[in-house]
Amino acid sequence: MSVIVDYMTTKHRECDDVFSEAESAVSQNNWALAQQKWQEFVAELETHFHAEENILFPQFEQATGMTAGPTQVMRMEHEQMRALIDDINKALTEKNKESFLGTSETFMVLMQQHNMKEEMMLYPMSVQHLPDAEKVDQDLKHYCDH
Amino acid sequence: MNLSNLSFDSLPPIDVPFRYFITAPLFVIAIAFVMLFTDNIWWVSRWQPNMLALTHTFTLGFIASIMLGALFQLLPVAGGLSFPKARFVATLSHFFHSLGSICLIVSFFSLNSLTQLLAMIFLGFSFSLYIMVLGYALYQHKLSNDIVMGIKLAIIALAITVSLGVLLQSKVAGFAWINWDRSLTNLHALWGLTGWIAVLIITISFQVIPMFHVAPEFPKQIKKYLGKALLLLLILFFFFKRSPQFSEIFIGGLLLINGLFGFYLLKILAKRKRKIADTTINYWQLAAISLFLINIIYFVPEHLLPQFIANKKTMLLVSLFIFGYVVSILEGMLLKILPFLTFTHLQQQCAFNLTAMQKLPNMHEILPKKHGQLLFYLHIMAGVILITILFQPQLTWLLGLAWLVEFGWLWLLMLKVAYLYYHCANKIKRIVAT
Repeated sequence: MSVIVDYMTTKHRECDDVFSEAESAVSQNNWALAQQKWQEFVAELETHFHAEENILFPQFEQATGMTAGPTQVMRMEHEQMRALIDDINKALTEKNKESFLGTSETFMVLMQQHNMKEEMMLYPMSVQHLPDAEKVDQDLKHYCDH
Repeated sequence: MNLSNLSFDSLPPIDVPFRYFITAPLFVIAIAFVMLFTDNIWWVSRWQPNMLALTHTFTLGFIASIMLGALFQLLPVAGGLSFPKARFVATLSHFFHSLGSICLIVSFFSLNSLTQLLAMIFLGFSFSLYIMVLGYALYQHKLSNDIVMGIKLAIIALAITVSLGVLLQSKVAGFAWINWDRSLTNLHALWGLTGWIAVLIITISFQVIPMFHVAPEFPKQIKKYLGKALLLLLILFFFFKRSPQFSEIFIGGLLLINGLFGFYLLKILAKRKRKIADTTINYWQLAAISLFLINIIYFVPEHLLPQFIANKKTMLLVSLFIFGYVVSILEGMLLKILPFLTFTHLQQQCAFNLTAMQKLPNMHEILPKKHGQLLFYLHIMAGVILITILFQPQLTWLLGLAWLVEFGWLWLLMLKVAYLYYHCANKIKRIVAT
């Protein structure tokens, strides 16, 4: 077990599950379920982004002195994903299946590439450099689960 | 963990991987023309010069080009490692790789000593440059995770494959540095196919399949030991290479490990939560089925196999491994890599300019799903013809035609994606500038 890495990775997977449900609903033309699952996903994802941007990244930056390094890239990728979420919202409102699935596929690859960097690099680096990783882990859990 | 050399955002310029991708299908297209318009006799034995040309068309011309190009892209994402001097290395390495591959393939047909020598020099230089630059960067890189470790193992296997290849080619070109025998050729082929190619494919699959298809993780022990087991067997094989009995056992072990990967691949894919139609999944499944067939054909005693299969066993195994397993996975991955690379580079150029971002095409607009599906059907058709041709060699022209259509279509898809990239990039540039 590894603090931060395990919890945040589990959160990524939970987001993936809801994302897949939304995509499946669209592919079956079940727009009501798609809307519900998509909103659930976006809410989960935003909570996750906020937890990183307001708890994990500042602690990492403070511990390593790197403010223009990995965390800056991660923040930028969050914004790139937020831009795609707007496009998907639009496709969902218009019930445009083709546009939804094309953009959701793009979003999925972007998100997984981002997750890969976090899970394989940023989270392990955080554990190594944060003076009290356990405390940060608790703060993340408290923020995401309450 | 040293943070100073980690780079999270060091995408190489898009032309770096794309130059490798766009030239890769041309090798198969060229050999397809040879099959169509010459009266060479094929499929008699794997040692025939034109069969060696055909094998290297795939392993060097197509497979290695795609894998070397994709590594430029994968390293920053999976390992926080940017390929040092990416464009410089890519320009030199890709140029000499292509030139060397052409010389080697031509030399198998023509048996011309100058092309044999040039092939050895060009390929030796190209691979040495690539391996040394990447090897040094990996050696200095402090971050170690499963993917980085797997890439290191694959690069070691590539270095051994290339060294053996250069040694063998030097013998052909007239230098008598080694005592050539066929066991060295087997070693070269096995280090290439089950070391460099399979280890890299397996390593990347462990990471991308659970993530991109929302599937369970591969078992920890499998993830940890499969790649290492392949390399260990290959090292042991080196010492027993001249013993036919041991050779059979080691080759069986190598195929079994790949078969085990195929088993878990199917199992994990069956449990995926992301169930939307996806041609890349079909490619993964086809690869796994090919691995099962390989194991069945290898392990069923020869006297129980139909005579016509037993006669062509080696060529059948190699065909299934290269075309059914490896080429399937690479084509499936290209269907994701090509549109995503295009999208991500275009998105970066938008610099969060909202008007520019509205011009961004999504992945399906860049590479329509139907076009990917057509490629898959063409691949299946060519695969069936390939297996048939082994037993009906007089129909080789049909395989030439099938490959011409399949790889011609793949090439067109690549050109279309590249055109769309430059078209959109120009549009975005104009918007951002105003």
